[in-house]
Amino acid sequence: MKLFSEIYGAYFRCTEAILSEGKLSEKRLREIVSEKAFRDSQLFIPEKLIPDKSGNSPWGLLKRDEKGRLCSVLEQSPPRIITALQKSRIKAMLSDPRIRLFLSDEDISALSERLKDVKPLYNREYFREFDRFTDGDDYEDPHYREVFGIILKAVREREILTIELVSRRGIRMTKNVLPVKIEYSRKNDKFRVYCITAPQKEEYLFNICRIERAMPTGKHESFAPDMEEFFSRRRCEKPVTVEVSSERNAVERFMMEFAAYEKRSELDLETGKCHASIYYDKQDETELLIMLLGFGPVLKITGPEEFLEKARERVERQYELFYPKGEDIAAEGEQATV
Amino acid sequence: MSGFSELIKNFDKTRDYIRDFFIYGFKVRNEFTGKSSRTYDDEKRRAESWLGDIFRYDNTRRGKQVSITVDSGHIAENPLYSAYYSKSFTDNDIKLHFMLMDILDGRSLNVHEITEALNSAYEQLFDEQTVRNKLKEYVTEGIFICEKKGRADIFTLSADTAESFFTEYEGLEDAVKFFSESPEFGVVGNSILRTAGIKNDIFLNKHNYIVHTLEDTILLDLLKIMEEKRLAAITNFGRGGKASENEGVPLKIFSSSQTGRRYAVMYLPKYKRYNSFRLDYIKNVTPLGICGEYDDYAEKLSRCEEKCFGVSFGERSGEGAGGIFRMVLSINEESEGFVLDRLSREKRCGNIRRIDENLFEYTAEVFDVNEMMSWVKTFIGRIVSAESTNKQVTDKLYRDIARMKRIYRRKE
Repeated sequence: MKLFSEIYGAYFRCTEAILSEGKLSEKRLREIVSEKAFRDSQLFIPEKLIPDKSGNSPWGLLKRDEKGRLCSVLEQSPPRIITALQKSRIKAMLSDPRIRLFLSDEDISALSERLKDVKPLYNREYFREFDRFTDGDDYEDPHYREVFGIILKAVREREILTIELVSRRGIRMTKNVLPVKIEYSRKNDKFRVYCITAPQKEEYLFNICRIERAMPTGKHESFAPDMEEFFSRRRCEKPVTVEVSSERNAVERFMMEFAAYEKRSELDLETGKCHASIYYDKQDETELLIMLLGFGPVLKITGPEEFLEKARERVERQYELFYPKGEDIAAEGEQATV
Repeated sequence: MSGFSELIKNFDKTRDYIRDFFIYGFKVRNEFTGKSSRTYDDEKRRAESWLGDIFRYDNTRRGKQVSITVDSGHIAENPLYSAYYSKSFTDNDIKLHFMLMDILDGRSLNVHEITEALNSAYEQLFDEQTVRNKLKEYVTEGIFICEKKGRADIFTLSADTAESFFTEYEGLEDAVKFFSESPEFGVVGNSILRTAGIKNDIFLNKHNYIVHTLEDTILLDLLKIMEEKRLAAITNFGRGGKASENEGVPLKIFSSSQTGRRYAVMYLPKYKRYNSFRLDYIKNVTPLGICGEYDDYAEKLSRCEEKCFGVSFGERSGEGAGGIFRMVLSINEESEGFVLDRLSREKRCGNIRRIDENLFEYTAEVFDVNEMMSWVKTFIGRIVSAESTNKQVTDKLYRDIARMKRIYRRKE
């Protein structure tokens, strides 16, 4: 079983799509190449597939009919087989507690029976996630499973739900919303659902574990929400800017740990410092602030002013706790600036 | 341009480039050391062809900088999976792939009959040995099934089609959509979606560290070795880029949900200790002989895990006796319950004790106190005191706060 194999490759998938059409024009062939393969594949795939004047081509998978159209040489459309590697991935999924959010107990048993001779791609006991938060969602809880199932179906079918929940601050609320995406956080081990209200297009993000009831309304929305616009409304007005020093391998650590954020970065060769702008969801501001402070003195938040002020307040408070008499910090003998 | 191909034979070299474009978005051409300009240009063009819009150029004072920019919390599919879909192949590979499946769809045939059919149906002349080799390869990949009939091997097409799975088990499609973006072998889930011609249109992943998918080939090799309880030799390139060879027993994969990094934890018989190796630094894994003491090492590791705050086993050999860290935090019980909740869910191997009104003590016995410091600093503003048997580490924490005070000093 190989992971890096041509049988999963873009060229094979693209050729499969072309052959599945039966008969097609060169124009259509090129459209499929654009859709299914890579940006420059137009330079490579058509010349391998399209027969020359004598009817030959390097791959020998297409011929021309009497009208000059391209036809597959195959008798049937290529079958879509789930390979051994893919089955072993499905088998590994079955031992994950989250599988219960998608499959009924009966289907899990039936699928386990069907895959009884397949070795799972990995055993969960080989992994230890050492920093995942311990108050994750309870995927065994029948109520949670039921709510999750209703939301999942509503996302798929674009159905408006009436949702009742208690917020983190203990406020009970009821909303009629269209759930549009389900988000999983590996760090929190929690699911959240992005929702939108139809007329005002207000957006909400609910923790699924806080939802007490989710009721289908039978009303469906035909519009497809513009997710770009949705996320842009949640985005910070100004990015947080930081300066990272080369001390303690901070630049690499920063680039790795903030890889999940959209950011711009530039290295100043003279100073060895990295300057970066980080864009974030407004709701994640505190999380971002404590992540940045976790870098200590090798990272300096440089703006915007309101964000910087929050960092400054925390640092001042901490300094007063550690140095109540206001020690002369200039005598510490280490560089103060990043 | 001549000789350029979008496809590659070997994943390793490309993996390094993509990782560099992604992680070090500020490198310019001449900073990709140890590689020729031609290699750099080819790798860049290839990566750009696979990744399209997320490839970004910025003109800086130092030159044109290439980066891969993506807001990974808002994407339905990891764009770096494309690197896995770029394996090169021969003309015969693709011919045989489609023609053999066509011939065996609904039929059971032996090698001779299949070779004949290739000739008669598609006018393709192949020798039987070539056909036999491809059939055997596809039996291993689960595409064909081989059964003995008398002395002959009879081949049939597997009945496990995407349609049969997804129509029989309602909900499996959504499950595969979800797991197609999981950190462990999400790319295989994605390949299932592509086989079935569907896309993830439901799930997003917060804290999504997409670059680590590039380590999955190394991970697969390691898991196989662990399954067979073997020793392994690994070639590792650390921070300085210097290669080192280590022989050891891979026992577990430690992974961080907060940084995405993954580590192979190995017992190193030569040093009589456990050590962690970052998967993104490992270039090669070679299986060695079966390890008779595998279960003992695994069991001892389980005991050690109680003192691992992260992935470090400290400086001492064997199980060692780590340091103790203690800090007192100021948390208002009435108005800051959420901070207490946070401490409780993030404490890992530590213990929390209320010592006075609005004062809470956190203690942990760990192999490496230094490893805790990034987390400790996330409580900046509340740490009343911090102490440790490893005084150097807590002294540094105090100095760090003094440095930060100067860094964030208000302008007069």
